[in-house]
Amino acid sequence: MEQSVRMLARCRTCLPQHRRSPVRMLGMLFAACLMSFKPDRVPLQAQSGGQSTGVIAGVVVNDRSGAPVSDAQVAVEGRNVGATTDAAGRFRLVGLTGSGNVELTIRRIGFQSRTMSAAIGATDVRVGLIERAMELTSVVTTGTAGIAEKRAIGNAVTTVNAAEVVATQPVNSFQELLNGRASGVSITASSGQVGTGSRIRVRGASSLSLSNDPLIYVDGVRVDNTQASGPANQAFGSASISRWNDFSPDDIESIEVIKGPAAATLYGTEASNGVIQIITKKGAAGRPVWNLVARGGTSWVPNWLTRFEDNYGTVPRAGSTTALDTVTISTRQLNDSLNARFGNDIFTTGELQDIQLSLAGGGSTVRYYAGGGYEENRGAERVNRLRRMNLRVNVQANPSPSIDLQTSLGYTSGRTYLPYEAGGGGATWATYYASPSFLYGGVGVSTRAPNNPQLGFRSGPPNIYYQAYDLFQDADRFTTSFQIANRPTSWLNHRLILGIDRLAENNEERTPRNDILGATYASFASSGPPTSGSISASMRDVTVTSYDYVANASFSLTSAFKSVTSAGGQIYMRQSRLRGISGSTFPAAGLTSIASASIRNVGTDELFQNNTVGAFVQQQVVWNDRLFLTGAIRTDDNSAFGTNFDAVTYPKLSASWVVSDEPSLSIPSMFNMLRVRSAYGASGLQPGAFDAIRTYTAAGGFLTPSSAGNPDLGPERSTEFEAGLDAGMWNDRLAIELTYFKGNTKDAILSRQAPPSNGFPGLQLFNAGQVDRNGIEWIVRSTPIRGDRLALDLTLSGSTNHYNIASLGAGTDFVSLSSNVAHRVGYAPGAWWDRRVVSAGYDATTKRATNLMCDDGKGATVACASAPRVFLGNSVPTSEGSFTAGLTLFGNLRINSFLDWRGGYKKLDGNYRVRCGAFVLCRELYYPDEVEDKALLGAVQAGTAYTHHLISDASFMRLRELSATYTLPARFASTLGASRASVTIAGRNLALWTNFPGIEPEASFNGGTRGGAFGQWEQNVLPQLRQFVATVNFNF
Amino acid sequence: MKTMTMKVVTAVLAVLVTAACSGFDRLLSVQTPSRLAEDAYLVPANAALISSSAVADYECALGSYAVASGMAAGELFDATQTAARWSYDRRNILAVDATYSTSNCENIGVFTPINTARYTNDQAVTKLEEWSDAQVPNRQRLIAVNSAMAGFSLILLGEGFCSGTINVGPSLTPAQLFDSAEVRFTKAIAAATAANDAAILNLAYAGRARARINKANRTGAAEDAARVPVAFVYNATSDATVGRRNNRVFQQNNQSFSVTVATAYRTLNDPRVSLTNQNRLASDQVNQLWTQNKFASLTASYPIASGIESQLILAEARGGAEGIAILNALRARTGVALPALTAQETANFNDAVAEERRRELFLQGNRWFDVRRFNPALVPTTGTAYAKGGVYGDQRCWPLPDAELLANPNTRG
Repeated sequence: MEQSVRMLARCRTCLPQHRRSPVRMLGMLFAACLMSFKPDRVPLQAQSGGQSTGVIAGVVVNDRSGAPVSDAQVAVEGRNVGATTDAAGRFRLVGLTGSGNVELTIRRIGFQSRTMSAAIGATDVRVGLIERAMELTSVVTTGTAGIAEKRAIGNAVTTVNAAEVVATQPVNSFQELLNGRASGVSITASSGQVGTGSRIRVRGASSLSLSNDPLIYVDGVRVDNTQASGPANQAFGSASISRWNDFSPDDIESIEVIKGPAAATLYGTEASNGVIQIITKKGAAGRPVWNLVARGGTSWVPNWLTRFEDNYGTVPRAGSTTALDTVTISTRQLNDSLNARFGNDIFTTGELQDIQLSLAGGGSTVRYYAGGGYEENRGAERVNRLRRMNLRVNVQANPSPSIDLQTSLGYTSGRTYLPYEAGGGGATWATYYASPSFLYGGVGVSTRAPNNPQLGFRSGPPNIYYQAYDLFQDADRFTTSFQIANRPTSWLNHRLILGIDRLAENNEERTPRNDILGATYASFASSGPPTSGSISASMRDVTVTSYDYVANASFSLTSAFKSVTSAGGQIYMRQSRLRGISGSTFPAAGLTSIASASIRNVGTDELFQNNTVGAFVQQQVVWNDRLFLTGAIRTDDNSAFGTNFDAVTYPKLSASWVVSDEPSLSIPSMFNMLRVRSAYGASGLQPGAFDAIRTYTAAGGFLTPSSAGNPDLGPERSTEFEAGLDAGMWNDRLAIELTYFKGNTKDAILSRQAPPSNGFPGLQLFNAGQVDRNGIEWIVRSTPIRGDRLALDLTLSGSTNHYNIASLGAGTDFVSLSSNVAHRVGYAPGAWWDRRVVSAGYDATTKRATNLMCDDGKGATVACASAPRVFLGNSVPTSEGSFTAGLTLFGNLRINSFLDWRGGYKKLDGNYRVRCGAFVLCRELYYPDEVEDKALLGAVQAGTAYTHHLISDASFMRLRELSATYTLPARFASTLGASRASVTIAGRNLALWTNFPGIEPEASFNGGTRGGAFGQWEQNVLPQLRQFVATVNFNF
Repeated sequence: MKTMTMKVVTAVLAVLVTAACSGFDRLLSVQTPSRLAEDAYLVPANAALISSSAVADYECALGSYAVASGMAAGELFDATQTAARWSYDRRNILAVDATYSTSNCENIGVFTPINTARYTNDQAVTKLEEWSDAQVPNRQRLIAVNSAMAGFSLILLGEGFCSGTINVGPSLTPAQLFDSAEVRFTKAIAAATAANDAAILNLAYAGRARARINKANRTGAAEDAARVPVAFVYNATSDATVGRRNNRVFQQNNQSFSVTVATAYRTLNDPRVSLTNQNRLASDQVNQLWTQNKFASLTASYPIASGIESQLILAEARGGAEGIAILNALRARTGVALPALTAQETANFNDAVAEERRRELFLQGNRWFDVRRFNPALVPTTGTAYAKGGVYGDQRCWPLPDAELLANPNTRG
């Protein structure tokens, strides 16, 4: 693989000079994989049976983005000649007699039809199609009984045109692709380490105690949706790897997002957090089209030399045996010391290399898409890197007009190396919490002697961390689906989807034996005697199996009314096996296997199985193809329901009315399309596999209480009503999608600390609460300028949500999740609650704040020792949105900018907490006279007792992407042997606006003890990287 | 074409029929190989396992308590870099703190492991009493050992906490908890006598003596302590390969460098407090690393009760010259060979007993309650700045945690 990567990398740089040969080599590689497909080698499919006397050839592109448009119908007016564009957007009309101009008509779903004139003999015709801002005929497969047109669906469905985004934007992962492009979907980034993931929420977080992770489907098959995995590179859940990013953006055609229970009813239990479906690329009929994309990029931590606070500390005064001086240490000083000792900076410049190659084509009965790629990405910390290989083969076949077969096979394999951060230590820990006192003393050295090998860094210089630890995750994932659709009669169609998602994950944390490090640095004691190194490996194997059958029967009741009856059933089986083994004390340096460790330990061997069986019936009545009324019932049973709890049933109702198709209504002429829609429905969320039963677990040959269980436990039930309208105005120059939702979660499962005196440790789940919610989502698209030389399109998308706990069960109105995060009736779930110091006196002699008085929650103050916890703010964003502006110049230069924001929440600045409260490094503690706000001083001087002063508004707006794509003129492209070629230069994370006083608003724990559903918290997390990427994209 | 359609319909129907025939109920049954449901566990065939598992719960709780209470009592300094455990060391545990209330025994929790041990030992006794001798071999012996462990669990609860609870019941004072412990030791004595098991009998007497002296019942304490031979020791067992079964003091102090022996013990020059100065910093890079030599490895056993502790109780209960003679006898024993206490040292008898106890019972989980009982000056004094942030508090017992208060309706008003 390494060999071929170098080959691929060379290809990117040498392409202009030595055209085609490396590409051909790659082509041969892939052709070898694709021998069985034997695609139709006739380059263009002409539908004319006539003689080739005259030709018109060209390309159909998206007028806005310049991306090729496949499957467009090109017809010559008045003549029986036509063609369909291939995957590169190319068409070729043959058999045209005569000379002069003819009129071409170009049609494609999702675009406005276009008529233009072209000269017979022209072979470089460029047709720009204008995308419809609001398209009701496009089909949706998510949350529907089979495939449905958008016009028939009463709930909002957000579609992200992934292929178009990936073609021009600096998008390296699935989550970056989704970020800001689907209203109501909020993505909270965790760390700037490459390979790490974000936390995704759809319409906020409504479950008090269960996962708020949406479900994810790939081509109709449910797949593992874990958002935080990886080696335990720290204790709090930062820098975790999201399984969502296993899906290569280059293989994705589109993403459909359905939000909330009204839309997700047909997915039943588990679906109330929304469903996100990935639809992978499929082949288009036509000649085989090769697509080669190569990316090269660079990334870094912006302003890292000046971005982190200086730290204070005391050091021995020269010539004295007791006196101390207060001095500071800065990142620049640390970096200079590091350079002098090790010859490198604290942070480095990352590199991205990515090459993706695909082949798409086929004939009328078989179409194929085969793609693959290899990515290497190095981060701003030297050991942070990933390499990943992905392959995909999708084949569609129509063995007969009534049968569609579709297989979709995806495989990805890679390794991600992560450095320590947050509670685990690492370069950020060493730097953010450096202290001048670490310039003095050392292991076995008097504390007043200088030359500490730590060089002022906490625990040790970053290089020592990299030398001492080796942490990585290997992940192999195979996702496949097979779908057969059949139309036995004109009124009946049915389809069956079978699928498997198989994941094998290996997480390793290695501390090789290193006696020198162990003896030199106190914090690296475990790498030398007495433990002499250690290793921990945890394996996670997940298999998700899906069976999904749906049948639809449609009848015309009258000339105006049509009935569609649907029924179906699903079986989802999920099995996770977790195994952890560890060892310590290697007899000699160089040995790092568990077998060579002197002490070996099997830590974990857990099997989690969870199965759902469900069925639904749906009835739809259609009136004149413009009014759609739908009702459905779904029933589910799940293996995790308590023994006293049986199946659960969810209803759904929806209505969609295309008002603009209504001849009897006179709507203003500015509307070229207007639809109103509404949906009501329910779905649920199941508890975990062991939540219902009381269990014991074994350790060392003995059993000990494990889970208290609750035999009455049932699923949460979420109900939602949503209403909205879709409008296309002024000939699609302006389009608006607006949705209001209101709903609640009943029987909300609440995880409460079981009283320890009942003998069972940990938490116990109850169906106890109710959470109400409402919100608004919008997308506004406009094309204020639409010309051949200049086109401008703008998109504003966003959402707000409001959550309120209506009940926490009888006798309780407050449930504490941690010392500063709690659920309280009348407030949003998981909000910040802690004591707040509002005033304090000051003793100028002791230089300490005195007589701390806290907010009593009733408008007065009370001594802090007996003060209640008061509301400090929400911990989950209540608004998010994005603004995209795209400018197309001369049809071939596209400039795109993309801003996104999150707001209405607060985040805990753990760096301030650790610097002041734990490690006594902040200026306030050394110069208390300077601190005017003595209440703040009191909180700071109290160590870690208070957190209110750390919790601040973390709303932010970021210039996420800015890109320029230049599509080479066809004649240049053809000299390179390409039918189309484009070059993109793009930047990511270029500017940030925020009130957050800490280092980075987009740094937070994604799981672990301080992450998960609520309470955004960070502590020495690597900031988001700024990145520049150059992309070349060729079609052959 | 029709044939093709028929084939597809047949295939789909076949899949559906197969799925239906396989029984959806079976699809919903799942395996739980790593956890045993309670009804499968609590059966007579598992009696010996139920008994020994409950003992293991206590052993782990005791190991964790020895470290946590060692920090609170000034035997150990915390040497970790993260703040979660500092409040043990700083003597300012808050009821909301998680580590002391809900952490397990590997992570130096105390309230939950002690309560679990109390519960599983009580449960074992209840089940053993339900079952017959025919079902369970050595039933009386098992009843004796689990009754004694339930008693010791209650002793730790009463010694460590300002108040405690049993089975989601009301808040109990330490004296009430010691009463409950005494009831269990009495049951253990009866069962051990019936089983004719001298070791468990001694264990139960040593436990009851401790419960009694804790309540200042000197007569009762002396009576029980006198029955325990000086050489008696009842040890907890350890294991290196299972984290939960490690010798916790060794693991925390000598292996992970997460605690260091406190300054007050470093220069005692007493074989009962044998230490090594590692001449390096501990994991927090603040404290010098001093390691204990009492427990030599992760597998070292550690005492649950001993004749030496009983002798100390006896000395305390008897007092006066008799008490001093007992203390001197302990000091003179082989392997210790310390001179007799001077008149100056015995001028205040309580101080002498407390001092001998702090050395003899070093890192065995006894000092924390002695800090409350004998009321010595706190070291470092309250208000002193804690090197890693904050100041030292004045606690001599831990508050009943919020984890219990908020979830247990019987503890409210």
